[in-house]
Amino acid sequence: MYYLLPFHFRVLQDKEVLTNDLGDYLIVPRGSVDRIVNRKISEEEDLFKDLLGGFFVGTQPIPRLIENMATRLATRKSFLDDFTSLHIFVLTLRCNQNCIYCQASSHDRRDSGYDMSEDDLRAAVDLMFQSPSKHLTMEFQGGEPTLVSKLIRSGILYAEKKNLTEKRSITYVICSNCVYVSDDFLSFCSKFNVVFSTSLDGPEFLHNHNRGKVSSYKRVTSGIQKVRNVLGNDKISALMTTSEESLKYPKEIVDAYLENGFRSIFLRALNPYGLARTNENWLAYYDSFVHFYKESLDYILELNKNGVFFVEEFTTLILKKIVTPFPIGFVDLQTPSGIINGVIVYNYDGKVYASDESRMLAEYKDYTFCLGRVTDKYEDLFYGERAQKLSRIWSTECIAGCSECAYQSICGADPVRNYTTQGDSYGFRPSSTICRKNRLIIDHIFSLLSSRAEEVLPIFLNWITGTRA
Amino acid sequence: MTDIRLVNNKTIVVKVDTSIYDNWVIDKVLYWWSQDYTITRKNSSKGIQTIFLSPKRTNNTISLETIKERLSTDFIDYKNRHTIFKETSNLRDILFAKAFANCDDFIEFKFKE
Repeated sequence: MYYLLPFHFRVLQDKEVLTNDLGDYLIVPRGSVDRIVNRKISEEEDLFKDLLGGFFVGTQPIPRLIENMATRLATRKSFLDDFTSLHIFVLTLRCNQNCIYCQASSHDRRDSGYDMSEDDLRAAVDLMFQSPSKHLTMEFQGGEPTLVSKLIRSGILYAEKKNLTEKRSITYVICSNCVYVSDDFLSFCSKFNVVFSTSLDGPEFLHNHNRGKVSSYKRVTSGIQKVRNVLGNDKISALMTTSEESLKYPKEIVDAYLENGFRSIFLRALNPYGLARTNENWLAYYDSFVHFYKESLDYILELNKNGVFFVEEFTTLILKKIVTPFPIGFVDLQTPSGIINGVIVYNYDGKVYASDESRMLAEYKDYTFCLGRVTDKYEDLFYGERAQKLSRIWSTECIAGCSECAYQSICGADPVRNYTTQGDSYGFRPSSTICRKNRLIIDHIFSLLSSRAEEVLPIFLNWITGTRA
Repeated sequence: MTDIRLVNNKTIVVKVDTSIYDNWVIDKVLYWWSQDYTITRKNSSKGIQTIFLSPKRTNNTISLETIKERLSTDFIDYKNRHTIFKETSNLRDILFAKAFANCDDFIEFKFKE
């Protein structure tokens, strides 16, 4: 006789994937769940031992290891302890590039009225320090934030001054296209251990096509090198965005990252914000993206098998959620959602938004996720009526379609995305493109773990631990 | 399910014995079908619920056999999910209570009116 413990399952062709809230998983033949539920598993079977070890069944109504289980559950949700740790400062909407998929609705670099004021910047920094988190990330975004390097300097200097008494650990991140970064500014950045996050979309022809500038690739790659020379190789990382054109070049994109000295890539789909929202068929795009993702991942796995250490970051984030009980700090894959709990955005106009995507909506005069102004009280912004309303629908554990999903604790809830794509923050999972995309990608990772475990597991473990084979 | 048939070459009519599959199971199964089908439900006598699924698009090409197979497995899978839910929901509550029992040290904020 055994007792069931809480778990979910999903059918994957001739297999069933069992998962639970503690971060355990088990891949078993189709029909196993029916046998488990109907008490058909004998204690002599290997499957029974696996179920017992993975906390899917127990031998007592209240398991002896319940304290251990509770600790693992608390660990999995420990990102909530720190509350908001990522604070995004959109210093300007002005930009010196012309990207075809711009999600931030940026303006020409010569335009006026799109920069944050010094007063608002200081008020935003004050709000940041009211967060209980011991670790704060102050991320400067745009537009192109280096166009207002003076604001970056004053923001960092003001935060440093406050931190003399606050004693937090602060990471400064500048999201820049690296097209124009001066020596003087880099020298300032080196004093405060600033990290750069840039965008590289792949080989020269593709990057230039996406950026709408013929010389973008050359300027970006030389900018990357410049940052590396002054700050160090590990102080710059790159993100790519998969435009419709990019979908044709999975291998070429990975090769371009290798050629430019990167040891990882984040295969990132377009988001339905800014210019990108005009895409006519998102369902077709995401299906093509999943195909692109699989091809790229296969190529990356081949590279690793041949001794080239190269990581796919999105896969690694998902793997960490599948095989470890630890939270990953990636706001898109969190439940409760990363909005407010993990990230907050101070916009150039002094408004405070629940997430980066929320402020992108605001550029289309939609202020649904605006929480107030930087001059408002911290508690009214972070715990106010809008935040409370959002909190009712920001956990996969309690929304329709997610509450029985086996990927509930691997995936994340995203009311902003639901609102943007479906006109309703609660969302409707059967037609949700993000649900479909995440489901197909997680299915693929489980399929690899099931059918090619011997080959891929050592590589995946190296990615998770960050160690080279 | 007791019966699945196609009526007027368009509407799928499903009869479900609610003593085997209760409303929890039926709700969850139909949720995932509701993107492609308009669904109406009617309780008939003797614990039978009749469900009408009308395709929202005219170019729906899924065969009745495929629909039968999918619906059958959906009902069995969701019944299993329901059994797991019923048998473990108290334990899940205890687990969450234990995991977050020390998180009751809330700060009382004064909100604006």
